[in-house]
Formats: sequence, C-alpha cells, structure tokens
Amino acid sequence: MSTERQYLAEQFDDVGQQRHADFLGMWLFLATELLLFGGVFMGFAVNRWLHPQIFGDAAHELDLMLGSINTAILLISGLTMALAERAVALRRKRLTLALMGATLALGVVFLAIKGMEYHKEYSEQLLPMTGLVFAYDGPAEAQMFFNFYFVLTFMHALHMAIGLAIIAVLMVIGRGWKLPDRFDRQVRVVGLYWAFVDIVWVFVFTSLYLLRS
Amino acid sequence: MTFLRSNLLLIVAFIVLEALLGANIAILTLPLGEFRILLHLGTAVVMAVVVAAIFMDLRHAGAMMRLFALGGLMWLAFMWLLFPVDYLTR
Repeated sequence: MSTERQYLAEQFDDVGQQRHADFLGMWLFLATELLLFGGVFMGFAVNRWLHPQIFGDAAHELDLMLGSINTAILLISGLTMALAERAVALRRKRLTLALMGATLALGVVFLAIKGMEYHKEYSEQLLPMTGLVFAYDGPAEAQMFFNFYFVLTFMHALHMAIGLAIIAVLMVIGRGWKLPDRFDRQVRVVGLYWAFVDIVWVFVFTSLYLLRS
Repeated sequence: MTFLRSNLLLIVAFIVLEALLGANIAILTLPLGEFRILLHLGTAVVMAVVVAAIFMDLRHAGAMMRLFALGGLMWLAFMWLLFPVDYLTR
C-alpha cells in the first residue's frame, strides 16, 4: 500500500480532494465562529451606541499598553504560524517544528499578559461578578462595558488555549514525521484557525481598548 | 535566509500589520470626534483583510473556498442588518 493510500480516507477519490474537503470544513467552522463572535460584537455595538460616553469613559480603565503589546505579539505569532505552513509545504521538519514552537511560546506569553491584566482588573475591583464588589467610579451602565470586556476577551482566550493545545499535539505528532503529507494538511488547517483568532483579536482590541472617549 | 526571501510577502504583510497597529493607536491622539471611531474600525478591517488574504492565503484559494469565506460574511451581514430593525422600529 502506498504512503498516499495509507492516510486517504475511503470516502475520497484522491489526496487533493481530501485536502480540499479539509480546508472547506475549516472555513465552514470559521464561518460559524464568525457568527458566534459577531453576535457578541453586535451586542457591544448596540450598547456602545446607546451609551457612547459611559462606554468611552470606562474604556480608560483598560491597560492600553498591555493590550497593544499583546496585539503586537499575536501578530508575530500569526507570522510564525504562516511561515510554519510554508516550511511544512517544503517538508522542512526542523524549521516547521521550530516555527510552531515559536507560535506556541508567543501564544503562552499572550495568555500570561492577559492573565496579568485580569489580575490588575480584579485588584481594582472591576470584575462585574456575583459575590465580588464592583467598585468602578461611574454610572451603573458602565457595568455592561466590563461585562462585554470579560466575555469577549475570555472567549478569545479560550479559543487561543484550544489553538495552543492543538499546536502542541501536532508538534508531538510532527516529531515522528511519519506522514508528512498528512502533517502538512493538518498544519495548514490549524494555521487557518490561528489566523482567524488573530483577526478576532484585532477587533476585540479596537472595540474595547481604542474606542475610548 | 533563502526561506525568508522566498516568503517575503509574508514578512511584508507582517510589517504592514504592525504599522497599521501603530497607526490605529496613534489615531487616538487625533481630535476627530466621532469620525475617529470610523478610522479605528476602518484600520481594523484593513488589518483583517491583510491577514485573510495573505496569512490565510485566501488570494490563492479556489472559488469554492472563497464562497465559503464570503458565506460567513454574508450571514454576519444578515445578522447585523436585521438586528437594528428592532431598535429602529420601536
């Protein structure tokens, strides 16, 4: 049995068709993700439209410096992941794994900085949660801003954590380099997901950190 | 080095993205009133297009793949266009 046949699922005629189906599946999944995040962004937009001054003032409580650094880091990780996709296409094992490792490390740094931000906001009593004191010095409607902030950033962080876990598993699989064609396809599919996570963050950062009064 | 040279477009796209990020932050200092919001969101849209076209390689994708990507945007547009109807018709 040829190497190609070994990883070709029976419902496909050839590897090209299987590869095409994989990419289409990921794009379809990303479309559903777009609607998930789009719904929350829509809620944010409506509330910001209803209370522009309150939302604009509340945004000043977020750490613009840390948010900006995190955005820059995520864009670098987007580059390393895209380069990893090109490296695996050239069947360069060590380079592929190194670039995926860099993506993984940058993602972890992003989440660590996000954790620092959450801790800062917790210390400043800005978490609008039951059982915690919400001590923001402003109108009650500002609580909605912080609700959106924590929901959007947590949803994004969760997606990042899932992406990082998949990249880590792929790196373990990739060390063996037994089926490079299959690995190539898997890296490309994860690369699509990672770039989508980048795009979502660009809008999270812009909406929450930059639309300040 | 050859690898980076052969992927120059990705490097350029990355530099453009970081520059757009810097520009988006710099817009904060401009006294443009509500117009500033449009500039911020416009810059974010350009960044998203760069990531989709180059990092996600949508520019080389086949017709079906582009259709799927556009389909997501279409359903998002339906949601965004129909939701305000509730507020506008009260």
